[in-house]
Amino acid sequence: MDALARLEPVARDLVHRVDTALVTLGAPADHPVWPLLRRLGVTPADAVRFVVETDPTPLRATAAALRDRAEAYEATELPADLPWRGAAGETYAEQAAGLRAHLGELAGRLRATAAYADDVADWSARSRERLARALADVLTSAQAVTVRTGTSPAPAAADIGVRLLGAVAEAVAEGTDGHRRWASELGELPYECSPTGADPPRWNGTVEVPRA
Amino acid sequence: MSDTLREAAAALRRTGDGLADLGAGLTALDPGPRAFGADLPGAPGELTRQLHVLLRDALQARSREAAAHGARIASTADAVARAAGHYDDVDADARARTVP
Repeated sequence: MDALARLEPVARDLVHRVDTALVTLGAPADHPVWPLLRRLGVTPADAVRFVVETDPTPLRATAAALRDRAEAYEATELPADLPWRGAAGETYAEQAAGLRAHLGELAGRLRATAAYADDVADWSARSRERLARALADVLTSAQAVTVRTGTSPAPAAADIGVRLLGAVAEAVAEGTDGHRRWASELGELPYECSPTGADPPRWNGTVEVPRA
Repeated sequence: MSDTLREAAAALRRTGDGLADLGAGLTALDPGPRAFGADLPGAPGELTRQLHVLLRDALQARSREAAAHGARIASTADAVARAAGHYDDVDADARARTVP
């Protein structure tokens, strides 16, 4: 259980009071909470829920399983050195080399996919840590007392909203950058290794049978 | 010679089948959209969907790559097995033509 998992239940009531105050009482027109609300399109409570539900653990499990499969690809044996001479034997040798090379590329693609899952897991962990710090700040703030006691809570709720929405806005910006970096790296890899096209080796009647 | 080719064909077939099996399980590694954040409107929800779709599509691509390469290797195995059969035919023909 990380800091966010411990703090969020403690802060839940305060965050809902912040939402209620913002929805029912609004905030001063020039308060910095407005651009954050417009940019994210969610209230502070929903923004908190967004980060709370991110979970790096299954993403790391996916990454580990993908790396295991990449290792399995790399350990795969393709018979290459056959006592088979002549045109068909040469075709087979070229085909086997192409198949092996492509297998290595596919292992690389699996590792890239694992790296993406790890990257998202790292982003999730950083976002959770950042929001946990924001929740710790607001829980001990004077504005929290104001929101809880109900004496003119609107500006105080907006201040808390800025702290929470700001943390989530950073997470969204960082996640969007990460998505942009990976978007073109994980597409399907075409097979371009066959030096003789896609056809498998064929018996063509010109094979030299070695003498015993 | 034909035995060696037959063994190679069998090894290739095992490899092709193994690769196809590995690929078939890849889409099951998708942790689902919840791991990427809550299903919400606005920028957070959009990011959740984008991050998840990228991994889901990547896993599907890895699965298709494995299936296609498994089939490619199996096709090569078939060709090698056919070549082994032709060697058998040549050997049998040669034996039939041998004068006692």
